[in-house]
Amino acid sequence: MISVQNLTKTFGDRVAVNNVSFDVQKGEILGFLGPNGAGKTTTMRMLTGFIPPTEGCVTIDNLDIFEHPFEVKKKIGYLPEQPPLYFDMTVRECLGFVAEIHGMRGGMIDSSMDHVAELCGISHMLNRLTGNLSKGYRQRVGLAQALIHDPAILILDEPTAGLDPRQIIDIRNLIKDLGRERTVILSSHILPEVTNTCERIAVINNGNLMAVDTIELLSDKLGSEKTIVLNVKRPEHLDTVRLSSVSGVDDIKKHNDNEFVLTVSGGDDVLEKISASVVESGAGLTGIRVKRMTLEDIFLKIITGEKVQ
Amino acid sequence: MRHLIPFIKKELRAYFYSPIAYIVAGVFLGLIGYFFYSSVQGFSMQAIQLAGSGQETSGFNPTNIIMKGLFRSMGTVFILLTPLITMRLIAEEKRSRTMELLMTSPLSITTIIAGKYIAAVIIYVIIILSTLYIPVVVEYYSSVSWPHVFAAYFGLILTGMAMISIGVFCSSVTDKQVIASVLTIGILVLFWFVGGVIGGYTEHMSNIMKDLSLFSHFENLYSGLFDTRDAIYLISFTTVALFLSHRSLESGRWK
Ligand SMILES: Nc1ncnc2c1ncn2[C@@H]1O[C@H](COP(=O)(O)OP(=O)(O)OP(=O)(O)O)[C@@H](O)[C@H]1O
Ligand SMILES: [Mg+2]
Repeated sequence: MISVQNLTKTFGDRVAVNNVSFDVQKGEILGFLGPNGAGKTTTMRMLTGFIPPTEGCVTIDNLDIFEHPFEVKKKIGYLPEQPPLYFDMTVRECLGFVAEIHGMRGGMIDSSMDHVAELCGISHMLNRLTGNLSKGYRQRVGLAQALIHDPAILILDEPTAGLDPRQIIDIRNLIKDLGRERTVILSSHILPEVTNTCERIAVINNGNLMAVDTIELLSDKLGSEKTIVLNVKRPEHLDTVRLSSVSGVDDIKKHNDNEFVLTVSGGDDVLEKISASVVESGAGLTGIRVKRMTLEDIFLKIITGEKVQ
Repeated sequence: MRHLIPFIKKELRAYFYSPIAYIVAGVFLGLIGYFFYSSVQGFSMQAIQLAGSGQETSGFNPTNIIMKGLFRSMGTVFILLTPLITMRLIAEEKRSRTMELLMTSPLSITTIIAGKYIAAVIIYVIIILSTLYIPVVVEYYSSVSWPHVFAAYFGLILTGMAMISIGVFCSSVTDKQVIASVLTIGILVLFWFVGGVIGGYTEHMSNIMKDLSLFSHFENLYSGLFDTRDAIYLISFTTVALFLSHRSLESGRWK
């Protein structure tokens, strides 16, 4: 449905997005994850046709967005990072205007407005000036604007930024519901945000796409690594050289006086060999703990490390 | 293009909700009303002096003495008021990021520029036509030359349209309203006085500059001389300025 090929954007000599390619299938929710300044907003602006890419192209239902801007833009509902509201207009007027510029008229607008206002929880705010709303409510009005023309594709740039915890849950559920019949791309720099709502995630850092996969596959690929924490009574007896020669041990770090952290790959037999080796050296093993990588660790590893194939 | 009407509606609504349009209309009508009052007084004084003096009186009629000067003042005053009407138009959409909404909806840049331009022209025409009470009052007490008045209003509207097109252009190059308004005044003053106060070194050059000036074309029209060349110049001027606004918005995306 959405196909992004070799998308690159440079501002002067700063590369904001570098050769990014991915596909999104119909009905999928893709999470765009990356730290601040990674290039999420820039990518989304290119997906929605707001800024043209320096290189590469975006096609939606096989139509290039810059060759057929009107057909493509009708299919997209976009919530920019900063909700685009006219502060001198009421919520009702804003929604009405957005509906009109999408070609809707009369009764269609009214029923659609009631529907999206209900979905976004702003039914009681319709007659307020958007300029007087709190940040969270502005965000909801922005979301309602993106939904009013019932688009097949939703592109949401940090949709839950500025919302209170209860509202975050509501909006997440709303996005999941919307994602049943629609294709959704949402961005975030917070991991739980993405793992909660999305089936697939794309991790971007410094403009480079580091990984695109389902959450399960990503944790399988990267989570096979474990860390083992060893506590010993007499660290001076521990022979780290010998320990690191045990097959499966990738790295040893001294954490503090009595604690060592080992990075290992492989099954339980590695653990057995390690404990045997420590006991033999007479260092006085007092504790051994296995830590699996959490999604958070995996995310950090992706954005600090290499690309994942 | 079928999105144009809702777009114009939104722009007009913005004018009616903000105090600026009322301030512009109030200042304009107040000033022109005052000028009208004082030129009527001047006219009566002159009429008393001329009566029985035996001097030539063929050019001495209310249209020439009162109306012509007023039409010129309306044009000149509007140089200062145009930026107040136009500065917000595009600069504010950029600043408040609502441009992102417009550019990602199925609106063309042409529709955006046209909608904003037309809305500003509507406001301008409403203000200008509010001064029609002046010829009506003059007609009531004396008489006016209606063809002259129509040529002058036609000239005022075309000249105002040209001024507003410059305002739209200046608003499209920046996201700051103040910069847009200073630029607009600068360009308008230049095009108003070029060939007149701002002369060339040679007469030939002055004449060329005069042909470029908005004022010299307006001058013919407000003096009651209808010449299609003046109309064509003003319309071409407007078209070029609007075309440049389009280019400026389009190229702004490529930065
Ligand atoms: N108009 C612009 N001109 C110059 N540089 C820009 C422009 N827009 C973005 N950038 C740069 O491009 C890079 C990516 O920015 P982008 O806004 O896409 O990041 P992001 O992933 O959305 O970050 P955040 O999580 O903070 O929203 C940044 O280094 C930013 O400074
Ligand atoms: Mg961003």
